[in-house]
Amino acid sequence: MTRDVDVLVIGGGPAGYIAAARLGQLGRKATVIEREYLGGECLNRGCIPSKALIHVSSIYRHLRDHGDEMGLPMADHAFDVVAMQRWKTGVVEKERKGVETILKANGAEWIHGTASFVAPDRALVETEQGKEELRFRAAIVATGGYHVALSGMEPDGIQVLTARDMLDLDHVPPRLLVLGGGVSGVELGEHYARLGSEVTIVEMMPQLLPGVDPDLVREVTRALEALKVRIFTSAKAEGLRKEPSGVTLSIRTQDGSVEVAGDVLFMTVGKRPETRHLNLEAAHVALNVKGFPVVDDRMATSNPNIFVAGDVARPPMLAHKSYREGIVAAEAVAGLSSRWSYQVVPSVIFTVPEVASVGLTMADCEGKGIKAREVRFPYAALGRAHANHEERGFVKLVAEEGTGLVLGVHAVGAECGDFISEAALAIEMGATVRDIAGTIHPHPTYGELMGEVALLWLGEPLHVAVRKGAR
Amino acid sequence: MAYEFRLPDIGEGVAQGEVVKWHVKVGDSVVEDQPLMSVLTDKANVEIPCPVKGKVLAIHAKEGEMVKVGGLLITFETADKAAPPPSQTHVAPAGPPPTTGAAAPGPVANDRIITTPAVRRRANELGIDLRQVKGTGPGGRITEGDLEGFHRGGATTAPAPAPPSGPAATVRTPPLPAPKIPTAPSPGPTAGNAPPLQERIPIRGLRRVIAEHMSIAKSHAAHYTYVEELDVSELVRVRERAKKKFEERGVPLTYLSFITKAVVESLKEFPRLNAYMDDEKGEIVVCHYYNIGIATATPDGLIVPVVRDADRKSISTIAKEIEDLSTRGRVGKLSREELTGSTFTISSLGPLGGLLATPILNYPEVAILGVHKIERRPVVQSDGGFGVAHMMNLSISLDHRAIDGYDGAQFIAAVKARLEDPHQLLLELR
Repeated sequence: MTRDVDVLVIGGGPAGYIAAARLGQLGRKATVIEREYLGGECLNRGCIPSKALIHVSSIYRHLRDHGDEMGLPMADHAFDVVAMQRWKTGVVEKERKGVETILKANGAEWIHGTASFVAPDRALVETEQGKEELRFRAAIVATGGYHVALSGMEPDGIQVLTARDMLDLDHVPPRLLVLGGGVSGVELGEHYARLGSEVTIVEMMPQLLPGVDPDLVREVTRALEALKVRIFTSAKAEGLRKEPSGVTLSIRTQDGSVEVAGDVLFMTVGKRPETRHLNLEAAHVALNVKGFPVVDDRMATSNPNIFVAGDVARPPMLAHKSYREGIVAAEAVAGLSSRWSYQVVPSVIFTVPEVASVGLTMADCEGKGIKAREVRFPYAALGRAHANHEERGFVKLVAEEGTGLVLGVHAVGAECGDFISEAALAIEMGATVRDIAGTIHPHPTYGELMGEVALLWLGEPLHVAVRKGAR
Repeated sequence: MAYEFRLPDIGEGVAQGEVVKWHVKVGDSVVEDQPLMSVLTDKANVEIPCPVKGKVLAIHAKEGEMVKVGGLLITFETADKAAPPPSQTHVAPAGPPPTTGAAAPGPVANDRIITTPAVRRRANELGIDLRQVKGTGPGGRITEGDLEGFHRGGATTAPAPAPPSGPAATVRTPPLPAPKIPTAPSPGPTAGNAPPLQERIPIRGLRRVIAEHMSIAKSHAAHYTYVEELDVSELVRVRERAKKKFEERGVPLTYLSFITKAVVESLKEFPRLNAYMDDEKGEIVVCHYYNIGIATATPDGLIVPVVRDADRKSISTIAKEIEDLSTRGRVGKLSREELTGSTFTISSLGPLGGLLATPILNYPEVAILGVHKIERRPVVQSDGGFGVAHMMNLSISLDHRAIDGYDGAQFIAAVKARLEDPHQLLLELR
């Protein structure tokens, strides 16, 4: 038996639930298929739970390192990992309820199950109750990504762990190996280091956080090293030995082969688009060589009635990019002429200090032949940074010579993920450095850094001294 | 040197034109005779070729703007060295901000679109490529106003053929007083980003010309409409018999060609209907040539291509000509000459053509004939019995200032007689 639905949304993560909500606003009805929990990876085993934990360990570490000095001495260095887990679970459940409310409010239906295409206009949905074929007018595929593992090192839930396992640990592993120095490896590795793990991070590329401005990474590396994290870059994992006492990872670096040991290994080497069970061929949805669906700027695939959004659609795999693609796809389904026309996708890494970046770096500008200039304003010159004992870090502003157009802002330091939005707005609006400098930034806040770095770029800084010729 | 190009005199009686589309932009290198711009006059769409070889320095008229003959359109930089340096004549549309005084940014910066997310979204809605929009904001930013301006002016992308008009030399289009139109009711609040309940379509390009002509016709002429019913059974038979032969020769033998011929022959009998009003002189100008305007629907709106000297053409020639004119008219490929100079207009909606209509005159002409569909209807025959015949209605609108009802009725009776007995019509053929 075939049931007719309006818009089939496969995946209830950031791209899927936002698309469903937007469809509801536009008078269309979404049928959301989610195989696990609403909210997807971000809400259940990514952004949200990791931030709940990272926030706690950051406070802990801040007090432990500076409490004496600030008048909050810690009698002992005790913490309760089980209570932290309760806190995290509470946050996740609250958020998950929120997604349910959003779907209900927008008239969307939610089915717990899996979906795979059987024809260009039909999908088979499998639930605990059985199978049902749905014929859709349009579909949005928002199945996210799946984590890959190196062969012979597949996660086993005991000694080789996934990000999800890492977020659910009820103890702090004394020795933690992290294979993969990308965002989640560094964020969670650092989290456990703050709680006392002896952490080793192994990254294949020449720097941690590949793709991130090296200046910012240097600051993060410094912070990791202060936590006694061992870092191997340009290091290739060659084999894993599991023993009852722990795991040993053989790596080859430029200096030769090394063995590193730990109680557990956190496998976080990358994500691929989750198209494995979708049977996209039956839906006439073509994939590119990297395994992503071929997609246009309306998020439409080679099947004009099937759209994609989120991690499954294309990199970067960021929740806020997924939201936007969900909106574009929903609006395209509803017949609006929306297109992906964003200039920049900001990104934030929740290390301590935090990393935030939007737009072009100087290296990007050189590559594009744009004549640009960069200045760097330190947290240490900011009143609020001193008050909060967060003097580490800086903000870099990249702007075009002549026009003063804001091209990029790259920051490392406390709460920079919050004020990076101002930089994103500036770029989207085509603002100039003078525009930012001409905006009053309230004192004393971290946001002042945006105003200060703009003044510095103009050669009119208020809170740092500029040596002659240093501009 | 800087070469200033002004709107040339593009035809009889044309005083101004609307810039429909620029085919070049500032900074483009151009050569002689490449397409420069489209200008819509009240007569036709005119493609203006580039007069010189050089580079576009500045464009002085936005798309959608009305420019008088002699008005400055565009400045070129030409290779002539004797001229003053370009900087003295250069009107930069979007230079770097004055604070810097620096040279223009590199090629990447030139390609960059500086605008806001709101403008980008609106451009998507309008289907406009922002690269085509000139930014007037600081540093070349595209403002909402720039986009809306481009949209209003640039919406007519295809060269739009012009609407009907009478013989050009004497047509005058008095300026229309701005009508007082009550403010439209507010559409009410829309929920979030729900699709808008209203859409505002600027009256531009061909639409504007049609609107103006129709208003002028309605406000000047004393319209009345007269409807007659015809039994065209014999015409249907004649056409059916001849059709195939004609089609073999590639001629679609349409009813419209028979009707056109019948109209022309009848106009010869009643020449006062083959005329136009010269309101300025207070005269009726009777024409002794027979140029029949054929109202034609196109994607952009109504146009009226003209079959010239229809009295000297056979039915098949007329058929061929109507076919050619309407085909080219639909894609905007008619010349100004082909769209002007009619003395009488026929408006046919073909098989769609309804029962009756009140056509608006193709001012300043005094008569327009509306042709309706042919259908089988029950009729009372001469012997008093019932039968079924192919029936068709004709609606003629006339300017009562020139033509009284009796004259109009006589004319229609003459057309009716010819179409009901097409053999008579064929005998009149030359």
